[in-house]
Amino acid sequence: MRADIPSKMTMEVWAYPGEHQTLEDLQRIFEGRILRVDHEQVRVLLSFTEEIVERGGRNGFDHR
Amino acid sequence: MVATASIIVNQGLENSGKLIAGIAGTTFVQAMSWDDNSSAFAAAHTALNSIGAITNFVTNVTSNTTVGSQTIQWEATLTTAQLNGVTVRRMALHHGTSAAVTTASATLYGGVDAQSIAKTSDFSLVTRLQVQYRST
Repeated sequence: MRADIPSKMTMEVWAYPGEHQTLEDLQRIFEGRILRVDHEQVRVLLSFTEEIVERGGRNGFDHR
Repeated sequence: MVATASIIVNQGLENSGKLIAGIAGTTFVQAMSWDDNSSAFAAAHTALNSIGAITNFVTNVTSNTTVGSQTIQWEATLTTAQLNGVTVRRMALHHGTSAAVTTASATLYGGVDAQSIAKTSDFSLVTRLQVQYRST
């Protein structure tokens, strides 16, 4: 029997500058906690997680 | 790096199964929420307020939902006008449209907690949640 099951959940949170802000403004606002600066798309990566789904055990998956 | 924790709740997995089985009345994931609650999501949760009352909360429709060979990705934007002055701590996906999602609606699919982003009007936040599937 084959079944498609969730195996990985990934999350990214990007901040984009507001109307009167620039990429440099964002870098100043989030100084010290930026994971990546994307100059091409004018955004900064604030958070990222990639978690493997483990089968068995509890119902659902819960990785902490 | 910000510590993160993600989960697809039991209800979310059950709903995925219902969609595969074509069960009438099963709703699709169409909304994302952001709130400032510092509690963790748990497998048994069905609504945002499963851990208690939620004070600051916004829900928006997901856009740019993309499907790859074994992945589904949802994306939604918290605008420059939303949740300003609030520290965003959780993002969640919901079955149903944003209009149908409240803090008490049993629409929770899954989400990420343990975030800490002090929201201001200086920026918008684009959150992407991607689930990868594997055949067994």
